[in-house]
Amino acid sequence: MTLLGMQTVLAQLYTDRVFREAFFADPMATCARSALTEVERHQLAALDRLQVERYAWSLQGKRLHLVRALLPATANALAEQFAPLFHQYCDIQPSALEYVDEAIACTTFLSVAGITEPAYLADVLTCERLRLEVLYALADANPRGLGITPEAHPQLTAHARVVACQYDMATLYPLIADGARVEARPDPSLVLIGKVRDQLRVKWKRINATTAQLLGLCNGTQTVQAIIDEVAMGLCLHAGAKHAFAAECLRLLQSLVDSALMTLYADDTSEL
Amino acid sequence: MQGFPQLGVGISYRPIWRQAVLAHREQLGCLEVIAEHYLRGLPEKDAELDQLRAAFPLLPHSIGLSFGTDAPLDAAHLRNIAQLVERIQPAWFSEHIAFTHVPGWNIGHLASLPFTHAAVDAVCRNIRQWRATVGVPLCLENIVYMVALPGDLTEAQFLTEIVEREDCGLLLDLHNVYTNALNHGYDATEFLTALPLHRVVQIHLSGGHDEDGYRMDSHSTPTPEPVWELFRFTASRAPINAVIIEWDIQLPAFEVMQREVGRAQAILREECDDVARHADRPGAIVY
Repeated sequence: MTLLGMQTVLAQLYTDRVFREAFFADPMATCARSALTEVERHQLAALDRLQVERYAWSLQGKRLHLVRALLPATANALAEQFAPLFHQYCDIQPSALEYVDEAIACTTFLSVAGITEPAYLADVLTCERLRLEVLYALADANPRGLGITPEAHPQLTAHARVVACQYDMATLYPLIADGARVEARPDPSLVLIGKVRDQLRVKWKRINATTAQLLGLCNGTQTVQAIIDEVAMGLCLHAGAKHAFAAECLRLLQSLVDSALMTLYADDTSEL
Repeated sequence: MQGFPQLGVGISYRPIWRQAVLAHREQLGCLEVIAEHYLRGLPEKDAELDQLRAAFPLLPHSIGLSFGTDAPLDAAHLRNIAQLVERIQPAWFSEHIAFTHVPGWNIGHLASLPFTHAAVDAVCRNIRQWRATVGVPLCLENIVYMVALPGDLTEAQFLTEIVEREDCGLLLDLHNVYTNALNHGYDATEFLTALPLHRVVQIHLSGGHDEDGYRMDSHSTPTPEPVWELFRFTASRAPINAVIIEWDIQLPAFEVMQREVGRAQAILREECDDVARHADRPGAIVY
């Protein structure tokens, strides 16, 4: 057997707690199905368990450190529960993922782990995941100075998300991420998460249902005018109010274009 | 080592120190950057790299190529590294004598290799693959090993065999030497004496902590006194081209890094004459 065979067993030994326990309970049987030679199986069986366990623990500690840095609000919200829960996640995902993928996978795990405290945790996990997706999405920035027109087809970029929350996460998320102890009451809200142009950080903005509807229609298939008309129709606005509403929508959409949170297409196929 | 420029003392860069680093550029000779932090193609990270490159010689330090895996290097990762190297034009590139993954399984951090001829061959094959793609000199770093694997070489023989066979520079991490010596019960200076010190290009200095009687290489504290002594020992015997202060966890105020840099610079100046006598190289050494 080649060195790779040994390394493959070692990689699993160092990262998979279940495999490691089975291995030290009966090393020869655990390695029986591997392609290792008899000599190699005996060499592995002779490994110092304390050394292996200490190394395995340090590896998870390093993974935990990276994920904690990417999920500050989750780590703060869960406090002393975070580390033990992360170790449970590692039992399900023993092979380490790339660090951003690892953090997102961890939020998915935590969201189905049956944790009930704090009550706003589900919102925190959703916001953390979307924050990472928004920050690390690769999207071409609009050229600066791009002006919105009624005929353009707007579309939110990968750097923007709208999410429905049970709590006012636009206010709460920055506080929780900074380590504040928060006692929050349910306050259903819609939040726009947007990456700040040219910076690796996001902004949180609470928006109303009308704005959420407007942004939801910005999927590249309709013109600005058609979108505004559709939303205005639902609001049953008279002519004067509709004019003011349209102007406000254009200002909002222009600000999103300027912030690189929205792209404009000349038609539904080609970008401006 | 001959053929490498003198870059002085710098730090392993972290974004939290960006403003301070640029404001104190006259104090730092170079910056080490973690290569994997700049491979995503994020425009903000590219801009950061360009700004740093304009102010300092940059030394890319990779942690994910896995030279020690007994399998070819990941071609896509290698291409990304080559593009990064092309962008920043470093004097050299560094990685570790370790493995971090096998096909289909990722350990997530550096794992030690058995000190065997087979492992030497694996590392050397991957170095040759790397050289065919990336055109700058390579330096390889010694790592901490927590698990003693069966082998037929000493660690010093193992490291020597690799760097001599492939004509690589050595990135000598002195806290790793100190940690291994404490945890595995050998003399650190004897270990250093057994290495090809003429191949030392770069030094890493950092601190760690003790956990239940075991030394951890956590990069979380100032460089401890025994490591400073190992640095002085090495500086008097090896023509060091760059020294990097590392700190990864619980990052301190920049002033702490400045003190570490200052101390390293002072030791190098004190040992400068000895280095010049040992190095067969014309000209003054300027830090």
